[in-house]
Amino acid sequence: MAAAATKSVGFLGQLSNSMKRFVFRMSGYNQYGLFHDDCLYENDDVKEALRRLPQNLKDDRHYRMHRAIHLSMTKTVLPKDEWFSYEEDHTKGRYLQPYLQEVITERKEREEWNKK
Amino acid sequence: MRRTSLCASRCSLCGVLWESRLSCSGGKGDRETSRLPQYETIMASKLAKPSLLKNVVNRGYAAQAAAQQSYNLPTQDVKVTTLPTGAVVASLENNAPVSRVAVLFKAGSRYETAPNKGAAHVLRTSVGLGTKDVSAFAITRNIQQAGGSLTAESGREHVMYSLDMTRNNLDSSLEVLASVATQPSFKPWELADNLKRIKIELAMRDPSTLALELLHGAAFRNSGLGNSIFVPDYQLGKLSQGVMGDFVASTHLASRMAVVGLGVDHEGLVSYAKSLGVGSGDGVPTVGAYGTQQILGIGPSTKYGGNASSVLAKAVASSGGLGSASAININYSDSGLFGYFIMADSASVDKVIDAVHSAVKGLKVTEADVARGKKMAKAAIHMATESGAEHLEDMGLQALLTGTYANPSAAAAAIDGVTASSVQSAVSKVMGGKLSMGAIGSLSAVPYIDQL
Repeated sequence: MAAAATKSVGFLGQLSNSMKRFVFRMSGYNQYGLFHDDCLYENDDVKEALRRLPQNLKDDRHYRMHRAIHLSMTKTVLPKDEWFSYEEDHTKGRYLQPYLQEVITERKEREEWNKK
Repeated sequence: MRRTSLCASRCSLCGVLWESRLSCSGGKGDRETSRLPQYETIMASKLAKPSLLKNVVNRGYAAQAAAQQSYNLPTQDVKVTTLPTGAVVASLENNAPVSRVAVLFKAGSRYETAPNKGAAHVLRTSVGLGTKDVSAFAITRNIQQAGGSLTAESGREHVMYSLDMTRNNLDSSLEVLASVATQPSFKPWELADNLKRIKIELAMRDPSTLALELLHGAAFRNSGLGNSIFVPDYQLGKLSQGVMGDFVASTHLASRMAVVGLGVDHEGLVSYAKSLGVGSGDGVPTVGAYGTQQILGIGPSTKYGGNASSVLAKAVASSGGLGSASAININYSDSGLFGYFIMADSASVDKVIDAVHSAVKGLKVTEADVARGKKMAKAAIHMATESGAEHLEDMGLQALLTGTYANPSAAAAAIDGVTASSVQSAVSKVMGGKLSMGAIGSLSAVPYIDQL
């Protein structure tokens, strides 16, 4: 019984993993040399997280954005060997998440206090 | 939202009060305080929602009060415990409705080194910023909501985090105090935002503060006491999270800590001190324990205050110049400064300095002077324990620097031993030593130190 359960989780895990890869390929931001966190909608949380980002990471982000805008203007994409892979996107591409999570936690804490 | 209050009001007393203390006294600039905002009335309205039941209860109390009950509260003495880690815990149950607890570390500006100069100032202004487990918002709001006040204060030898809180709210706020005092995180963006506040503090320093800073620089040079208690301009914004973290890690240690309380249970405070998550070890080298002779040193300094009949005021009046002079006596755990502080018109400053210097140098101490000085010193010691905040600070500094607490009566008794000849020899010993001078303002007429 337990073995069957494990197997079924594994199957679902595989399915969701391949779905994620599929969505990643279809969205195509990696072809412009962008990471996941470069494409976030800049709401107040993200703006505050960006403010807290260390300067070197901020510079890298600006470089990638400049490159992407340039590629978009010239209607090309990067050569295929320079595309970020799915794994790279998940390791390096979530550079903003720790800061963003902290900002969101702080905002929720404020909201919780203001309810009282 | 955070306010910084410079402790000017207390310092107006400094000719009298500060000499009874163990740490650096002597001027407005010797301690600076950063303070969280006090209780806000907007929030009070949210807290106090009137209810029918509450009215009934209130009336009940009113009826009881009419019965004229009287209570006999036991008076207690200061209890001091030294933990195996080296931390000193001192407390006094004074039965007051407001409890005060302070955590002190030997982490003043004298423990700074060249790379982290100014760290003590940044540390003091960083109170209320987020810690490793509590956010800045939560610290401010928790303390405000309970109606308390959290303060950080630092001098050349110590940093003191203190909490004033009503008795029934103390427990939850103590957690906040523990976090603020022992787990600061110095998030880079918060440090950057805090720069404005530091710049305002720097801009608000008055000339007398700056003159005392210069005097310390001249007298103690490169030994730690020469370090300014303010961050130097070239270090603004350079003291990063890493530098500050290292400074805290090397100074906020159990062996360099004192926990003091007024209006708290001693056993509770001891277990609180044990629960504070501070490291062990010695950290930055500290100086030896402090003797009791500084209490004797109080004799000379209090006699020549700024009042009209004092020796210094007479000297200024007879010099023909415009100005005022007062005596200063600044004590540290291993050293000190004794001398005079002059404010004078730039045209006649040389006359005033000459007159005051020769008055102090050629001082003849009479028995009447000493008797008057003793009375003033004793009054000052007892007055200092009238205010809770000052009493707490006094207890904290004694616990931190000496490991014990000499209660006011004992200190006053020590003053009785002072004689005119001992004061005379102290003055001539000091004036025979090497002189240092710090001066600020229009200096064209100010004499050099070797011309005095």
